[in-house]
Amino acid sequence: MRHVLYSMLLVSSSVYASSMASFPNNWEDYVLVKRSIIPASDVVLPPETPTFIQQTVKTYNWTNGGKGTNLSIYVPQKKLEAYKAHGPYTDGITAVAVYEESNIIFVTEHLAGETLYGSFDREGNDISAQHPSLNIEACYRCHNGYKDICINGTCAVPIIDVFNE
Amino acid sequence: MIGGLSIYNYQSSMDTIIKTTITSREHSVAALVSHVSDAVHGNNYANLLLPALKAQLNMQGELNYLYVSGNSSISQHRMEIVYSREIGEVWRSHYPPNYESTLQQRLSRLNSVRDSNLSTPDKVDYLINRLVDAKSKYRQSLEFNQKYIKDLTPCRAEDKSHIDFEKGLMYVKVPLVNGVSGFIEILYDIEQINEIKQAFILDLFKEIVISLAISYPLLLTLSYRLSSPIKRLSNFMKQNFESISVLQVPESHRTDEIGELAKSFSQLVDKVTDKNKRLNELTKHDPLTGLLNRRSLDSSFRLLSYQSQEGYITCFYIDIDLFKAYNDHYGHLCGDEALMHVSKVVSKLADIHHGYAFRMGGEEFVLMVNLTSLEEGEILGETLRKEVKDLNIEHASQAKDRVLSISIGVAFCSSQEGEYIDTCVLLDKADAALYQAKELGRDRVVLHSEKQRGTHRMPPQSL
Repeated sequence: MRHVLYSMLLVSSSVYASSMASFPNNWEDYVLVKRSIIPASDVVLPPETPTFIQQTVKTYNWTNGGKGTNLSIYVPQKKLEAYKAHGPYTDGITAVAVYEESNIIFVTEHLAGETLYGSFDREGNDISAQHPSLNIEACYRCHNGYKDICINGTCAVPIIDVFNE
Repeated sequence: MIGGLSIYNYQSSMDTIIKTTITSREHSVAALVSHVSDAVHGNNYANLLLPALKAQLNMQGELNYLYVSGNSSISQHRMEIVYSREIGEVWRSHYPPNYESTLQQRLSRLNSVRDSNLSTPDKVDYLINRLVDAKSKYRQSLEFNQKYIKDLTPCRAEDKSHIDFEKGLMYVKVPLVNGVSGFIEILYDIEQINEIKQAFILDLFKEIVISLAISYPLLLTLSYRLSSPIKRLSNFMKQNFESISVLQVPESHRTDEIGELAKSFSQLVDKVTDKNKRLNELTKHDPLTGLLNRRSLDSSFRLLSYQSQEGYITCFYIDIDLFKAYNDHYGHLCGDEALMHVSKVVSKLADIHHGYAFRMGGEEFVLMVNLTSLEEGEILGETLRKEVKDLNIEHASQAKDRVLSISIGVAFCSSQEGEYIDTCVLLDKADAALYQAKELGRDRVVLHSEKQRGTHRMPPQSL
């Protein structure tokens, strides 16, 4: 039985994996560390916008019917210092990113130094299958892809900082 | 010339095609450059290894090989990916030196966690699978590197996009953009260009053949119509001018420019011949009296000897008596007039006897005729002397009659003799006889005789 499950995991992990990180029911008790915005789909980013930001906006500006959404990032109290330093992180939930107007919560968890991701709604339901950008492979592609920016699986650049210049 | 022009045309067209093709390829890579530059900028292999990119590259039939190299903008990490049409794959070709060992360490950590049962197994297994997958991809990349990586160093020797017909490929090199350092280098198959090149060569060959087929008869016609007639005319002109007959000038019947040239040449020949004749006449005649001069002596003597096989060629050497005194007294103009009067008498007798009259120079004349007997010579000499005297040209220095007179020396040779003796032999004899005439008192005719050793005196007689 374990072998069957293991095989199924092998297949699913390589194709269209469901959320792997756990949903923290008490995320609202976490510390708000950043606020940002996913702009509406008709917003043109300045040309000097970093590529990572451009990719993030391009991937998620469909949410909330394309009208954009506020983004809040919460970190458990015990991992605040680690978050400031971009890791390394102890096992457990590391960060929660909430698309306030879109009922989307992205969870980042660490296990043995490796990163796990999950996409949920506010009720804790796994929504990773609802859209390609919610699939955890999309999370890995972006976070692992932009290694120079995403250190230990977490990004530091607030999306909308470019507008403040 | 036709071949040269055709080859130039071929070279020019091929150069244009090559330049256009290279530019077109560089432009077609532009969209890829932006995507690749972004990925290299952020050290993002995931974007470069997406299936969509592989599919896009596989769709470009002529694209054989692609190599991306650069450094990420923030951490300056080296990034390299390769695409090979041979296997239809895109792979990461560069890894950090300790990549596999780092992977192994991470795997070991996860295995420890799984063995310890401290965490949810599915999470651990999922992470283990990812690392195993990463290791497998790493091993595969090493294998691909060994088998399918191409050495682009020879292509890079010419640091720009170019076509190498020998190797049968096009090398395109395009820099990454947005402040990212690095390049995309692509090898394209040039089968299409080779086909165009062969088609061009075939067309070139056809062009040369057709041009030769058209131009050769044209050139032959031109040669026949133009250069051959000109050559004939030129060869004709090279003849001795005096032997040219204007009736035989070639191409003079033509109505074109060559005919005009031939006609002009005929007219020139006419003019020159005429002038030559006149010149000849001038050189053979004395300008004052119109008589032949001494240059014509030999030829006239020969003519006389051929005129008759019998009879005698008679030479009368005539000298005006005391002519210097006449000139001194009456002046040279009168002297010339006197010479002309005397020459007319000599010329008249030459005409009557079908002979020749010469002015030898100064006041000396020669009359040469064919006569039937020596007696006839004597009579003719005397006639000549009397007719001159009958001109009654006043000569104050003449002591005797006070009119101009002449002395004549006469010499003979048979017509047969005339064929093989020199003119000067006869002339000398006549001159010797003339000398005698002067010695004997002038105004007389003396016949030359061998017996008498050059003199034969004859008293003046009325005729």
